[in-house]
Amino acid sequence: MGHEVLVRPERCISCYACEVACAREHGGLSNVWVLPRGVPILCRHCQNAACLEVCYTGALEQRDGEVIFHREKCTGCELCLLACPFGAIGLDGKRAYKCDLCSHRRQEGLMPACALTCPAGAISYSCVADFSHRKRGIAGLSWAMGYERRGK
Amino acid sequence: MRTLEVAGEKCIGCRACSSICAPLHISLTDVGNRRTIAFPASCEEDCDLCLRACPTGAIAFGVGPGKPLTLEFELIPCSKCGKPFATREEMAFVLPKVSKVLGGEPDWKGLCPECRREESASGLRVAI
Amino acid sequence: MRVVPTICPYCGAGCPLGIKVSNGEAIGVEYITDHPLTKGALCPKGNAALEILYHPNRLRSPMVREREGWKEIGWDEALELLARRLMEVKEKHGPDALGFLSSAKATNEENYLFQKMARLLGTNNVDHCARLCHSPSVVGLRKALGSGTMTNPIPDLANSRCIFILGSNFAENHPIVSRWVLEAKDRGAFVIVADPRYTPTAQLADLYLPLRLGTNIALLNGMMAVILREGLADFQFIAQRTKGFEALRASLSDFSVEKASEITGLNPADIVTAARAYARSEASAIIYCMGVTQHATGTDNVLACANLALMCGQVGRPGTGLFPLRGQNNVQGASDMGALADLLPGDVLTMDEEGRRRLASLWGREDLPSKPGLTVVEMMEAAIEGKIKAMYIMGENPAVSDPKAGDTLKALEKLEFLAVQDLFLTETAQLAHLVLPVACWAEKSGSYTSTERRVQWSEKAVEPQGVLSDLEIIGLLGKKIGLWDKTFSPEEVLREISLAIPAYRGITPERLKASTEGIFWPCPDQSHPGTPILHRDRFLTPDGKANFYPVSHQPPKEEPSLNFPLIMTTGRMVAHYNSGALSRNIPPLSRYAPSLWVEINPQDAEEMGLVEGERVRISSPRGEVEAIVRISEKVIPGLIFLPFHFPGVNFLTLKELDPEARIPAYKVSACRVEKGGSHGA
Repeated sequence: MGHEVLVRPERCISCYACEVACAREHGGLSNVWVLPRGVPILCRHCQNAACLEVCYTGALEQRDGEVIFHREKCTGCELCLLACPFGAIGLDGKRAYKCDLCSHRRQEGLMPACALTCPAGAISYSCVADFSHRKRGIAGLSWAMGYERRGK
Repeated sequence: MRTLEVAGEKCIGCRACSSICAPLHISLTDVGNRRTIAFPASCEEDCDLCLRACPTGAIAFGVGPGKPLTLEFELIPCSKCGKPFATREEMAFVLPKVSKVLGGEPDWKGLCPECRREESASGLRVAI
Repeated sequence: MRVVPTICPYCGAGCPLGIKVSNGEAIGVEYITDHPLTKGALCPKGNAALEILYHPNRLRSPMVREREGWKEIGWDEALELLARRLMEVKEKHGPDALGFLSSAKATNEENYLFQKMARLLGTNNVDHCARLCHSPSVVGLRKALGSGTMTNPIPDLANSRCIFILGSNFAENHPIVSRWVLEAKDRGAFVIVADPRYTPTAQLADLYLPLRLGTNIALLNGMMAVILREGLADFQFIAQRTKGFEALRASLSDFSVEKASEITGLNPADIVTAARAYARSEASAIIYCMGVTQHATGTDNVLACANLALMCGQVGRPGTGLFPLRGQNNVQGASDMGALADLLPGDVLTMDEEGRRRLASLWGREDLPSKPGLTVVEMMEAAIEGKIKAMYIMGENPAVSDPKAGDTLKALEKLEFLAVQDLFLTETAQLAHLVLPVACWAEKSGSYTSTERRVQWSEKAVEPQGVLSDLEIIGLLGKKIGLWDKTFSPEEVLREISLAIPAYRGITPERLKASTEGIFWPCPDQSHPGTPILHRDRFLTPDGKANFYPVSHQPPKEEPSLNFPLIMTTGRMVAHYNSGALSRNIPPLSRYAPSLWVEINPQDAEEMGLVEGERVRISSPRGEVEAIVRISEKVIPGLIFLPFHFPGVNFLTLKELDPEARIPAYKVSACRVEKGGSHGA
């Protein structure tokens, strides 16, 4: 249930693997943008999505924790793009585009490309509970074992 | 002759009609901080996509003497990078809906999508 | 539809790359998730690798250069021509008038057969680009530890408690290494990065040391001085497993942190912190790359790294060791196969009579040439002098990669005959008399050895169209010349390799094909699982002990002057690869940097009146190149940075060679920056 693309931004090394992989999987246009500072930005599939609120054709739909985009209903108006707080929606010249959690890969039981390909392990595909649990474990371990860091 | 009737005061200067029209009868051009949308006087195509695509119902079809219409909009500049990115009317359409969902005005008010990405990114890096 | 497991053709990490094949056509990339190094991960270059396979600019037919342009000829005619011209030069001027450049990107089998050809023809003039990057590791670590190779596997870095990164920007150039360093960090490890430039790798550091260019030895000696002063050396390890410590201790007796700080420009307290962290941690690793090797003191720099590791007993256990990150997918393999002027297959010096004769007898000869041959840079100098008359270059682009590349262009133009075998019409191929088109990695099978000493099999995914593999070409050529009487499959050649090289004795095509994770050499017999961690009980030196080699700081060969007041250094960026022959042709990669850029500090930019995006001309005493300005805090004032993936950058670099490894001092050149390109200001 509720698997999402979750990011550990401190791990991002701005290698652009996610951008190149995503573009390859989506006909040449990447749904993820790596900022030079080093963080990949992509659709957060918000529970209360601003884009959805603005879309007047029903091209955006929230289902099971995912904001699904129906390209055939899109008019290319760009209003969702202007509504997104993260700038995570693009316009391909004709229609909007955004992260679809690699639905074509999920159909074959494969994970989204960005999560698999990230060399630094910054991007994972998991549910928030597991991700959060792991992060807490890491924070704890890192503190407990970080004696070299604390200059002991 | 099927004329195109555009209610200029309803048009918010978005990209819907120009994007949906496959034969490119409606053109949208952005130059500097000015957006120009040009409508033909009439259209004999067998469709009403532009009418249905318009978010504000600004387009209708009629009969009788039509004339081409050009609408001009000012593109407001991003408050951070200064790049013109949307019409005032588009933002006036979008902001109330966004505020309703967020329960208040958005943090990114006035920023273009690229700067919103930057802000999200730096916010996340600072938070570590 | 099936997924064919191949090994990524780019860097030395050796990441698995699955190619989706349907109806004989490659239709996509798939991630191979059960590989212990990557768990499926792939950097941007690997993700875009298929763009190479069906690229419209790929060479499709042998061609000869005539006055009017290129003329396509058939394979028979091409091989006849190649055989005839090489043999003519050999007959008239002797075998040492020939120069062979092997490819760090071709398979082990191809490298082995190529160097075998050169040696059977009577010359040791066979070398490859390892000379230009890690020859100091090959030479230096061999002296210190008995083997010029990475001591531990990359995933083992997760077991380190302190990781010291010196002159390596793996976040861009070996991205998968980041995963394991980050794992170590998650477990509390302390990460130190020393680099004159604040790279994406430096961003991972707990302690960043912005040392001055060319002061590695001063930093390392400074750290060692601290370690000795505070009694933090591992004396038990030193006593049991090393030789030469007293000489090292004596050499450091008058060196201090203050001295180190003066030379490196670093805060003395930071040097002390780094030294204590490295020495005291249970398991410390040193990761290093071009920032250590590409200097006129490259070998000494490597020896200093080894000194530090040995002094603290940080070799031969999990989480410890030395990690020279090798650049190309098969540069380790090409080195192992002896495609080097002074080394025969299996790390046997050409001067080692016993080893040489053993190999000769395997090849059906009494003996082989003993005098070490000319190296990459020396071959070009010999060509200018008319001593080398013909060259056969396989998968290398010296016109872009060589230092003081203007000389290389002169050299190649002077040759009576130049044959180049490659995927694209590179800058080097453009100067050839004969060009042979080859199969890319996806169109042939063979073994590759990664920087971890991990030998892996890459399977053929699709059939080549009109081109031959390097192996087929060398096989046919050798047959024409009379060196052997047939052509060979990759499996056959690997079997001979395992006879020639003791470390590969237990590596067979069957074992490799059956394994997802490959085999780490040394693998002395077929039931041996391979050796991920070296030097556990004894070092690979003749007496099993490691050697300390005292070294001292020497100033760089070129300093700023009145006419050339800035210092230029070169390096890589993530989206491009080496000479750019592949990546500059691939839009999903080249879009990140379609043309040459230069990184300049804001202070310097302001002083010179430069703005972002402006076109400038950079000159050194040797040449000039144009670039677009990128203003950045990453470089300190006085230093500028250029990525070397574009032709022309190496017109500026220094050809001075390290005396032992014969690597050029790429990293330091004096230069000046002027406004405006050739089209005016």
